[in-house]
Amino acid sequence: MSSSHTAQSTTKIAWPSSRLEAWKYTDLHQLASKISRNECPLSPLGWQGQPHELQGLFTELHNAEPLFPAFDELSGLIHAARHGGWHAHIPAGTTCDAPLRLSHAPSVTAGWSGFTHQIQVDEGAQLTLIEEFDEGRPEVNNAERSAPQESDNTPVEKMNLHHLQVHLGRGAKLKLIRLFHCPTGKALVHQIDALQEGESNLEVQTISLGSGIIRNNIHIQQKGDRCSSTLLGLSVAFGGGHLDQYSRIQHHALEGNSHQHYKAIAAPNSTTIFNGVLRVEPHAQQTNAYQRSSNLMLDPASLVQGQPSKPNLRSGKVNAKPELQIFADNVKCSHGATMGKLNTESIFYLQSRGLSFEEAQRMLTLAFAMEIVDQLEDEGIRTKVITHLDQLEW
Amino acid sequence: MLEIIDLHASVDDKPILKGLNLQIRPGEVHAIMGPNGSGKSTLSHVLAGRPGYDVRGSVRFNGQDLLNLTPEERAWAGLFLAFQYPVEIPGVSNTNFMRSALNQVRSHRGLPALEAGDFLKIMREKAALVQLDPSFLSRPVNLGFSGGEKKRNEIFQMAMLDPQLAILDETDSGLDIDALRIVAEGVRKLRREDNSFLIITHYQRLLDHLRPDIVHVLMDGKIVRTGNDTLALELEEKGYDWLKAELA
Ligand SMILES: Nc1ncnc2c1ncn2[C@@H]1O[C@H](COP(=O)(O)OP(=O)(O)O)[C@@H](O)[C@H]1O
Ligand SMILES: [Mg+2]
Repeated sequence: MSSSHTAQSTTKIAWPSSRLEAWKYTDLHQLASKISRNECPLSPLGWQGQPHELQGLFTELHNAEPLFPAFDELSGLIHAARHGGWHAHIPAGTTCDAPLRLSHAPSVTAGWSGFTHQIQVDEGAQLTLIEEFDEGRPEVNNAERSAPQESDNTPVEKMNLHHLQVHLGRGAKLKLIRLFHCPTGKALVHQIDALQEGESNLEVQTISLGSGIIRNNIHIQQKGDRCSSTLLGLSVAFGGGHLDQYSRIQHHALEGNSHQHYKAIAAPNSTTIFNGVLRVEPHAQQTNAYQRSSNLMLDPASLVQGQPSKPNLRSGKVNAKPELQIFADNVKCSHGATMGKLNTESIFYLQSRGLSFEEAQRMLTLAFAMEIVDQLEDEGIRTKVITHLDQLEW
Repeated sequence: MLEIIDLHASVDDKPILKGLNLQIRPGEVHAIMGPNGSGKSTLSHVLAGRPGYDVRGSVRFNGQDLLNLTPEERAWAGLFLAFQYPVEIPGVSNTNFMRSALNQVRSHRGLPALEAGDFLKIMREKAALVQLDPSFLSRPVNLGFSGGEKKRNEIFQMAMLDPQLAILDETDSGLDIDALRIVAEGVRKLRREDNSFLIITHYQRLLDHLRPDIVHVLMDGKIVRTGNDTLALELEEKGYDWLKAELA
């Protein structure tokens, strides 16, 4: 792995700050300004059972040019400052039945590391990629953990930034299933920039879990006619976690389809953010776009039952912001954002059968999450997510 | 087993229970009757620990101060409420719900958690008691159940958790004759010398099956009359107006 690309010192990089609307809740500039570029990052890659037909299709990315001009500044910044990454080229007509699995090693030394990845799926080719970004266990002791800090004050010492460029050729199909897990004291920033040619099909399933900071950007440009993009997501923030999900889908062509369903759970002292920008350009007639965001805020037991044991806990916080910018007249676009708390009647019903408040809350929260988890198209990821959720403490 | 002294409960400064006294001994079946809105469900909720009430007075349950316990602690101590309006819980299966509930209750009663096989066996046995089709066990709790199925599910849960004191809040309302018989039979089979029932009802027909030892009339937040099962018959026949007149 080439770890020395044009090294830049952090201070010179103009990371996006909260003055930008898209970064209102997660100030990357401030996060990055407190730590410096990591000069000896681990290889971010762990290959697991690379399917036969993919031998040679995945290579490490050295000095490759971007697949297309950067959609925004961040992708350019990560690309310029990157430590490494991978490049995949699926030639026309190739169909990979078995999914490819990749797991990214956690950051171990203080500082930030940047990686750029590329997937080029040529005409009619198909690929399923399953990626895990697991930053491991929190590195703080239990005493600190029992009193989670206000998310905004949690000091971050390690940060991984990933940028993935996706180019889907005509009729190409790509399915991305990702699990992000980030503990206290760490941050994960991931951005997908996807450019879709006509009749291509992109599916992205994203699970974000953590008590650290995760910012997930999904930018999609539907350039050709009759493209389809399906986004599914679940964020679970706990123990002071701050999970920010941002999507921006831009329809440029005829009869495009986009379907988004996100759920988020903000446990006490934690925050989730959903910002979904949907832009339908004047030529994109007969676009069919759907966006739904359902959000759950959890109350601490102390608030509900008057238990004074953990007085510092506040309820989970949710920011949900759909942004529809529609410039074509013959389109079907619908969106809905809901925010709520667990039904107190349901909690009482479960408690009356002997479940503690926390267990009742956990059971109902899991039920809320399962609607998304059940749709994950990979058994392994699904099992991991359920294990994580089962072990959650808030 | 249960001793309620001068119980008051109000919601948003609106008094609902206004000095209620009641005593239930082990093995007894009590019935509470009373006009709509007299506070019967409020009493059951206050006893089960539902939040949202301003409560005064004293309730002792097997020597413990019941009002100081959380709802789950009351369940562990052996209290059970069959809800007048059971709650639907999407995404949580009856089986998972009951497995967690039963194991919690068992652990607080000093019993080991059940092996998966034993749990399923008990569950099927108790479902059969109220003729609840096993397919309901894998369905989300009460979701899409008919009124009668919900009530049977309540009695099924009661049978699973084996309480010392079960409060049945209008479990018979909305049941057809067959369902009523099934529920009543189920409850009757669960009667023992060491457990008690408090049955809230408007109708004699459930009491025909269960033969209460003591019948109370609750009006305007207070027990206004206590008698034996002939009192229930009298109320069924004549309504509450004569009693209101007599009290006035
Ligand atoms: N949460 C509440 N808020 C306001 N009023 C209530 C509430 N719960 C019960 N009440 C009122 O208290 C009275 C008793 O209700 P309830 O206990 O349900 O009666 P019952 O079960 O005997 O029909 C009714 O007048 C009802 O409207
Ligand atoms: Mg009632």
